[in-house]
Amino acid sequence: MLKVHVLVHLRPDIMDVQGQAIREAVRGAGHDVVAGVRVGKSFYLEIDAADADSARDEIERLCGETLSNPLLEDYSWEVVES
Amino acid sequence: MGSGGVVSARWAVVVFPGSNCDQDFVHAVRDVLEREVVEVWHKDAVPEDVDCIAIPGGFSYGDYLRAGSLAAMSPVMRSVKEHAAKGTLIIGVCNGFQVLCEAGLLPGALMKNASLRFRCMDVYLRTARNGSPFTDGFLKEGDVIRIPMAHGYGNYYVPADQAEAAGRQTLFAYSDADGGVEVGTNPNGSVMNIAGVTNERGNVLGMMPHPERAVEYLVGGTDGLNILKAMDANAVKTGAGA
Repeated sequence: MLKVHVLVHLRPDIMDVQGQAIREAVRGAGHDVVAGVRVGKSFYLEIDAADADSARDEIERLCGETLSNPLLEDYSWEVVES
Repeated sequence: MGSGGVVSARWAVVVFPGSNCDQDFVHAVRDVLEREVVEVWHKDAVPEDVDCIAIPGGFSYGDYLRAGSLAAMSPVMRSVKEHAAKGTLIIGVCNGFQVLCEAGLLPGALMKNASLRFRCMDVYLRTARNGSPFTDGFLKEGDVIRIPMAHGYGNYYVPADQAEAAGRQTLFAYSDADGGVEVGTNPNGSVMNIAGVTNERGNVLGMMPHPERAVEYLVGGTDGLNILKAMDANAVKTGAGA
């Protein structure tokens, strides 16, 4: 069993209104060091495969077609336990 | 044409766990249009002899992952895609619009409103073109309707390389009462004020505002009925679902 960690974020050219609102709020609370915030999603997948190489294509499709919307979002993933 | 040679459209309303405007649609079709309507649970298939399909609003699957994304993968959508391919008229409203985008039946995606606010109010929509089965015979280019919207994720986005096509396929744009389409009449940040857009073929429409909630004078107007009547009349005329 592989454990895979996936991160999904809005693409850099897409305005992240949630991130902007959080930035304003935390700066308003005194955290002046916060220059920017981007919000994303984190997924931990348990993949029934022997190794990352044999599951790579399927994980790519899962990330690129389902866990992210390719019009809006980028993703990255890594095996955290195998 | 519906089954048995009867010249009236048969309708289906798809119901997902978390849909909450399905009964509004059923009421509008059954009691106001006076047409036969079948409710189709997300695990079932839309019957083949249906002429018009409505994908209703709500919060299918709790909006988990992304609004509409899990509904887009549910079993019923296979039959919705088959219907889309053979020309059946399909309307997705609010969450239904999100589902159709996620399913790849419409271009673009819907993001959180630019204001971050859930906005619930009546809006004016300018009819952007002629020649659509969702308006022909009832609305023409430039006509303005007033119907309600209620959503937090209605900010329509298309990548720059698809913007020209989306502009051509736009059917409704957020406007003022006189049909002026400006930044100030945009309630959610949608690109080009797009409130409703069709696929290239023109038989699938997604829109954020709710025509099915504006079908009786008693509850604030009947402008939305134009869209449902146009679907009803034009689906039968073209025999799309036969």
